[in-house]
Amino acid sequence: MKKGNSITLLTILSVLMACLLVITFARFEIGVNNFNSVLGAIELDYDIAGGSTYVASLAKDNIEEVGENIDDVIETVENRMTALGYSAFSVKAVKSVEEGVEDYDIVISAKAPLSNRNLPDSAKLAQDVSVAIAFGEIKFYGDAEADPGEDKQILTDLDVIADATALDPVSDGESVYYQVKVTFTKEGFEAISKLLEENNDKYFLKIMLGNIPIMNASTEDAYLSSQYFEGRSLYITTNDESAAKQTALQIKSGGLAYKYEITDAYDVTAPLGENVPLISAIAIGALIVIVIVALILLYKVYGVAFSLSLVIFICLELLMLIAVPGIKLSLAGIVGILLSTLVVCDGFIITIKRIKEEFERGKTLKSAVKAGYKRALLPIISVSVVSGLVALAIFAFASGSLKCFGITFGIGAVLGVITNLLITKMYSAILLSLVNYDEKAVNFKRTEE
Amino acid sequence: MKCNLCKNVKIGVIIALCLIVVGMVFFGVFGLNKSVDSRTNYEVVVGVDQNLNQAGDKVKSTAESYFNEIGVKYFSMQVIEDGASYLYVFDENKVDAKVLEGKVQDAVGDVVVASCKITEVRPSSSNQIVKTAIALAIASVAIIIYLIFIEKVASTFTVILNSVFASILCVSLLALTRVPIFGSMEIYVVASFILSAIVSTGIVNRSREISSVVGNEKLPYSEIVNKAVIDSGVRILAFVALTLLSSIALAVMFTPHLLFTAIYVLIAGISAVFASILGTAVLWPILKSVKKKA
Repeated sequence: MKKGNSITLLTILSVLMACLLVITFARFEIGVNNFNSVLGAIELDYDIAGGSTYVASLAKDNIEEVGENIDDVIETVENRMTALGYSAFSVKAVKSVEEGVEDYDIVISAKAPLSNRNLPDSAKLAQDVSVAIAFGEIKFYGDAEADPGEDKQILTDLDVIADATALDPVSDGESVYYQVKVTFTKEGFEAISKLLEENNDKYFLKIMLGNIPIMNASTEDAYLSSQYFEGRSLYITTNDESAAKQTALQIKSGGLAYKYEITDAYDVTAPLGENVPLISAIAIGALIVIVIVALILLYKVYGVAFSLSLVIFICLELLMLIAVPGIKLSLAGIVGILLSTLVVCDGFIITIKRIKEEFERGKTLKSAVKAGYKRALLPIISVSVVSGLVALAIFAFASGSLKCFGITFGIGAVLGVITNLLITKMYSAILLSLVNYDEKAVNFKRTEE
Repeated sequence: MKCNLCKNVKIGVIIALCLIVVGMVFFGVFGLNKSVDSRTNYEVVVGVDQNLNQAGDKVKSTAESYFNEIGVKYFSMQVIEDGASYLYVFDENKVDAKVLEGKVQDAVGDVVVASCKITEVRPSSSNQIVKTAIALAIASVAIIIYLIFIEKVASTFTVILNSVFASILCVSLLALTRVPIFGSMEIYVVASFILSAIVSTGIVNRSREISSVVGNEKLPYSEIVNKAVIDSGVRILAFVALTLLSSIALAVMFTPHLLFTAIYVLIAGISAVFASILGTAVLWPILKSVKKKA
């Protein structure tokens, strides 16, 4: 590359990089609006940004005693909050230390999701918490007489439900139906089928979710025909979309046998401490500065090339956190960013080592860079593929904050390949052209013969 | 840099096995050392009904002065409702709610009403160990499918076994060092798995490069691994240095959770590097010899 072209290209890249840095970190007013930077636009999760706390106490008309089953209650509420899309939330049981207090309250803390206007939607969080503590176990009643009573409970000792999903609304032209598809386990389906076959003349099946009947049909109805039992599933119709989602969630999470009601709500700061995002950003920033200084001292021009690439990598990683919808950054996500930065630096070391070896064998700097990149291509791609596969598996199978780790690390793995194989290569070509591939501009030594 | 893995690998294996066995015994008998907020703890909520005349600041200073007086240290603190109340987490219940309430009321005067409540907290005991194990198992299969074409059988299984070894070593070290665990410690086990896979992939790739050089065909496999580790020395050192720097950067921020996170990152990094070097030195020559005989 000619020196003049290198200078032009470097100038253009520097301007673009400056714009990227401003977009990522700067905050300023534009007219009546405030530009909050990419960093300010990243949605933070409860563990590092705080949120709202809801206290749920046992309702006065609760019948069942909770006792030692409180751990089951916590687990059910947690599962429901996870199913509702929350990751870094907290569910715990609290009890006053004063004498005479026996029952635990359930305390749920989470960060409200953002509304369409990018503001915290506290109403949505309150609704989700209500769904998470919604009372009602699913129970089946069956009899030859209509409307089977509580003494006609069936399927008591079986694990009956495999899954429950709220389906998309269905319209028949006149009305819109909101349905829940309840899938039975193999043994649950066999038990129900047996009951229906034995009582083929007339059999009434009632399904209750807590106090609410969600299905009351007989063998004469279409509901209990083989068509509806296709694939071991039954379809329950609800009033509206939110009722369908709530019903599906309650059935799938196994029901809650105790009636709770929200008695208090307040805002709280982050449980991990104040200013954790700022502190983490300073820590990662300090680490990057140390790495940049070390690389420039060790590898001079080549170190400058990688330093510029590393800054672009960080900016792009932060940009992806707002570009990819649904990401809420938690401490686990910050650890993912830290580790992906480590992997990018590792990729650079792989490349520089290969280039050094080629140089030591007697090649010119230009040829050594070309040959070094060729040799480093496969190891860097392998490292990124391995990282990406693990990140993908974690994202697919884990939940909660582990999922956030998978996302940020996976994004870092992809960006790492681009950084090491494209951006660093581009910068090194430009900067080395500027110094005419002078061997003194890098800290390489030839092997003494 | 001279290093003779052939001589030192036995010592390394003994050290690793001791760490794993003792660590797993600790894990089995005592479990992991859960941090205060991950086991039964006590929350003290002290505050005023309205944050008038900077009453909130007085609540905080009075409460923390009282805690110093009685010699108790809180694990963490959250601010409630714009500074009107504060929530402190303690390991034990040594705070007298009435005394604290009285002190706070004296400090804020009669304009606002102070209150102090202590609750016993039972946190969630759920974990994602099973889901993490499933995710890592599936990732391992995917990695095997990829690497088998790139690095061949011996290198592929060396990478996977090293990664599993690193994860087990990470759990053993967490159990052995009794570092307080909060949140998802599975993240750091996964981190150790990934980092080991990355370092191991680099070493086995280097081993393959060395063995393909003309003149090296007759070198024993252990010697090839030895050369590969020496050649990867700068990379391994840089890896360790970066892990250490990352941990220090987090630790110096002086919050308990970030300090613990720093320690977890350090343990994950050390497990990964140790497992990768030792595992490759032991497994790669064995697997290559087995394949050659076959």
